[in-house]
Amino acid sequence: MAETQETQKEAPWQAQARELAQQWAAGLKLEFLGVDVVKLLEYPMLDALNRRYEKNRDEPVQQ
Amino acid sequence: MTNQSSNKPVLLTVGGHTQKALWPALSEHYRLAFLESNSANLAAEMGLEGVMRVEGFLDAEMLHRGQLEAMWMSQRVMNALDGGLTLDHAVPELNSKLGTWLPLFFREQAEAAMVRLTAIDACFAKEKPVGVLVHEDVTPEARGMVLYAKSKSVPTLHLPHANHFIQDKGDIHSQLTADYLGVYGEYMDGWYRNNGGENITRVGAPQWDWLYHDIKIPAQKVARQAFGAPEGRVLTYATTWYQMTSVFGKGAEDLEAAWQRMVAAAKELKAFLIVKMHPGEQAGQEKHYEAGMKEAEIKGAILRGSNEWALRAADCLIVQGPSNLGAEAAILGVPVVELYQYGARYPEWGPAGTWGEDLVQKIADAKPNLEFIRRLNEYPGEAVEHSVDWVRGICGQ
Repeated sequence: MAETQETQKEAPWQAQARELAQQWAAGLKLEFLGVDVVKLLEYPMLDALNRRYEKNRDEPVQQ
Repeated sequence: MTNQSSNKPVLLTVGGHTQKALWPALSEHYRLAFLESNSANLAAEMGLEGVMRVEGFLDAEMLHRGQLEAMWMSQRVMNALDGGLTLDHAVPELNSKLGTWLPLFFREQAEAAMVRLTAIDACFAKEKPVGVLVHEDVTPEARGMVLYAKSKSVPTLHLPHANHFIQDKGDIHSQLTADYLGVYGEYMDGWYRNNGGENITRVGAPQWDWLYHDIKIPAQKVARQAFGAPEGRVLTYATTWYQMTSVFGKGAEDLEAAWQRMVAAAKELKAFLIVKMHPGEQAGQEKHYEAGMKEAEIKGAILRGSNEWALRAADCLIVQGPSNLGAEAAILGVPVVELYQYGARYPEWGPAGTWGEDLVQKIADAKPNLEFIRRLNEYPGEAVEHSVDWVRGICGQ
């Protein structure tokens, strides 16, 4: 198997989405009942942002 | 559903099928309060006493409070965007459209989370749980319980629902939120320690206990008969899904390419193919597999559950990426071949793997791998006992 396929590479948009999520967390402080809501919603935020990044690889983001 | 007369303390848990085996033993010491109503109903049907649903603590005023809070938070998100909050300068098209989806998406997510938190808050106020047990701590459901309990200094325990074979340290699943980790064995212990885990105890995998009791597993002949498999080779293919929180390669494209390799191998081997779908796969995906098998003129079956039937019938299990179903196969002595995916991989002492070109040969060469399961599961058939001891050691009773 070609070395390029064996190499575990992160898709570029995945890295961008992670950076995005970190900036999101840094930019807002939201708390409810002692819970950091940005940390609470990290999973669906990452999911949503990645989906939009994936679309954005080949075409403008569609709404 | 509740038994208010019991003086047992309350243990708050998400629920979930991988911890179902624990519930009877836990309920001897605790009243169980479930975040998932389906799990609460199942526990009640199992005859367990003192079962509660967290949503049962919710009233109309709390519901309204959660909804209002989410609305105001969404407003703050909109204000932040108006104030110039941008998320990634490299993709201007994305940033320019954030305002069109982010505030409402946030509101929907936040509303569900806020309502859950108010219910958890009410449960804590009334029942004063002695601990919180989760099977993951990344989703808003489980993470919310953990973060809330930590704010109240109530111990939080995470017994993962699966081994992670993810190689990226930045993946969200490598984040550690709960106070204590119960792990299946050597491998999971090492994976979490490599990601900074502490307070780790090996307890085994409770959901696998029953697989060590051969009398509970159908004989191969019976399993094959159930699927209508003719004489000859039977292969089971474990599909997977991709979570957009951690994606490598080309996502769905890679999965489809692997499926095509599987179909080609089954056709070449003239095998009966059982497609064991991942529980997380979207509804309707069955049709896709069915069409592929019809086109290739492969006989077989497609199912989501009944793991032990799909495994017992098989001469070999082919997993799409490093599935925990491979561990169940190893317990039953079924050979496993891994079809590689980007970003995750069995360890070197695990099943043999391939990108697909030599899949037929790998299937022919595959052997049962006892070393694999030995390093994955510390207490074969005894994990329930060790897990409950672990919970009691932290939460009391």
